[in-house]
Amino acid sequence: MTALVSMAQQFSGLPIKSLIAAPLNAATDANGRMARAQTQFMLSTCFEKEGGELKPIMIKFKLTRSVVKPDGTAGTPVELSFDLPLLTIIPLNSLAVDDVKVHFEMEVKSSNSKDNETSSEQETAAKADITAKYNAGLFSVEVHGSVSHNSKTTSSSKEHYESSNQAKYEIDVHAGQLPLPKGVTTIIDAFTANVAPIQLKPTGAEPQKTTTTKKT
Amino acid sequence: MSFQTNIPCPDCGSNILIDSTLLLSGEKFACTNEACSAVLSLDESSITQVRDAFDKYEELKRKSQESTS
Repeated sequence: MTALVSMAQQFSGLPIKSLIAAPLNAATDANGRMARAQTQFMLSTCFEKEGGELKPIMIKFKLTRSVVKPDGTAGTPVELSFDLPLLTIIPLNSLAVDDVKVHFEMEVKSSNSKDNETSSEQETAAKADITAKYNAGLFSVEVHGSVSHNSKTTSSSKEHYESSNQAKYEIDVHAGQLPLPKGVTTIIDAFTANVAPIQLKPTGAEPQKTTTTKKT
Repeated sequence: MSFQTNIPCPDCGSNILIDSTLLLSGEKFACTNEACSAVLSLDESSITQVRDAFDKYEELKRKSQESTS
């Protein structure tokens, strides 16, 4: 019977480093490309160059507020316009590969089976009839005999060999949102805070920005 | 394909939820604070600019998905 395949030998030649590192390298490259594309998008779409400086592109919104008269009746709604940086309404989020799973499954199945079945068939037949007669005066003796031989031999040979190898390699890559870098968040927060109107003091004092309380 | 974003209400500071497609179609968005009566809409003069930005953003998202698939 043939010797079974050595399991250790089967796994020794596997490029495990490549199998694991290749998907991770690909994910890192993808992250780099996405980060560059997002930065490029933010700078080219949300900012404009003015004299070597990047200035945020502003868009105009209309805000309508209801007015209630002192007597409790509804007055004419007040509409005002305000500018808002375009950057603040684009849901920029750091799209990146945040989860990489490498599944490697290898099954080496080796089995030998050898079935030998030997049988020979041989058929011979022989038959003989014997007749003997003896006369002795008044007596006569007659003997009849019969001999036969039958032999049968069958011969056959059967051999069976089975071997199988299985390998499975799965890579799961998931792209999710990473928190924005602190610097970008600070810029957006600063722009967003500018939405609040500037309230002027009655006696020609310096403009004072109203403070708004954010409800979360 | 539209996406949702929010900006703080200039009046009370609560969030005003905005849908990109509806914003470009001229829809108005009310403040989520029930006590606040502020209603927000995009000025017509900025629609083209915002539409271009949204289109580029969708393109960016599409490319990002392609690079991870």
